Amino acid sequence: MNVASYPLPRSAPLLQPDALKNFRLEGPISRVRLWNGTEAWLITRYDDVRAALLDSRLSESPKDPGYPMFSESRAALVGAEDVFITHTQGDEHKRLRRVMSRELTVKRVEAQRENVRKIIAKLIDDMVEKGSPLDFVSNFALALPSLVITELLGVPYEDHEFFEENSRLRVALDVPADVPIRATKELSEYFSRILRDKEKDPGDSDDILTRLARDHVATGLISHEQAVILAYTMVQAGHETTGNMLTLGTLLLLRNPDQLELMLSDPSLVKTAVEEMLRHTSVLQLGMVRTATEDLEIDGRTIRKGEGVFVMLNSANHDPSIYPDPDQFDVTRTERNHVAFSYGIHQCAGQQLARMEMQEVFSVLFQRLPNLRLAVPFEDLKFKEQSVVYGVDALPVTW
Amino acid sequence: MRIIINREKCIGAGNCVMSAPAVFTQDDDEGLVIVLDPNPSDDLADAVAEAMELCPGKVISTE
Repeated sequence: MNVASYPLPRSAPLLQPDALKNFRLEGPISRVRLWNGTEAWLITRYDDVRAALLDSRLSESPKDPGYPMFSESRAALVGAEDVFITHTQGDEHKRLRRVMSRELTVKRVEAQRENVRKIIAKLIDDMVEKGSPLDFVSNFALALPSLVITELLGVPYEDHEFFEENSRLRVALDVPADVPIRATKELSEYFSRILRDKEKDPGDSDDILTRLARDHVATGLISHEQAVILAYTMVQAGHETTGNMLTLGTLLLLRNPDQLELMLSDPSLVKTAVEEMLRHTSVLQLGMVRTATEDLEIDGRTIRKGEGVFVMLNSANHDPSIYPDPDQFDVTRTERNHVAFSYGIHQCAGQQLARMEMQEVFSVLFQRLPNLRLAVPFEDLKFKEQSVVYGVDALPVTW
Repeated sequence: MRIIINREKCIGAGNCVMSAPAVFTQDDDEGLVIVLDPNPSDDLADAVAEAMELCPGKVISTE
């Protein structure tokens, strides 16, 4: 039998790879071949995906033999990187997670809502002043979450091009093997400098990195090196994923004008529209990476100890047994149980911030720019198939 | 209905607060779940059920 090579190709940019449909039908597990000739399993059905993400026999640690890699560059990076929060478990994970979760509670996120509204208004004002056409990604979709996360962390926004570019290179697949490592080193050195200054003199700034230095590093709860990794993780997760979601969400609405009209006719649909964008696009397109640390059975099929597994969030979110007519972008869907932010202990710590930013954007964007549309043919857009996080390189728009 | 939580397993994702804000909140120090209403009335049953389903740490149960 032919083994599909991974990552799987898409037949259309706003649809998930066709192969996932067959994999879900044939399931419960499907074999794929990776860049280096090794093979791994895909888990594709909704219930199996949720169960796998709760299963402690599937390890998230790259130190476990057999841990599968998306590409040569990913292999080099993951091998070189110090402990990253999504690769930890047990008490170490708890300690690192709670440093982040305290900063991203629903209460703290709600306290930012008014500020996010102001930033959105200002960015749209700036776009109008510059005039169309312009690139929606750099002028808006990436700018908003970058501004928000830099303010929250206490990082100068002037440096945004530096960390946006290096964050992008960290998750790119089609780059020479040393590029993600170099990008990570740049980010590490940058945040190490900022944190060292704050460790010496925290001052009275009300920001996450100040609290990280003062309450966690200075007290010995976590090391300086762990704080550095948390800092670039929060920056990356805070702008890259949300930026891609804002771009793809806008594109989905432009490509589904009936759904856009529906959302505009009933403001209460913005919330469900945002959940639908998250479900439909599932930007973590390559899934969650795991290794079996003992033999385990899924629906009568066995994954052997030491075999690699990709737990496919995008496939779970398009499982027709949970989401009827799953490829249809439908802003009135009421299911909120998608796994776009993953599931289990590594579920996104910043998800409520991402939701809030998206809700605020889609409450005003098309009201402020009612004629917003693509300035180039859809076919000319370049999508990020070769990245851990899906998105569009640039989105030229006019209005 | 009585709410039971396993706070040690909580990861502070905040989904329970989004689903049932009258029943759950998070502490300021770690962002972990706090039960505001351990015996919610029946009209909150759907919200609590959603909180249980969405909880990524499987921390919430009822009896």
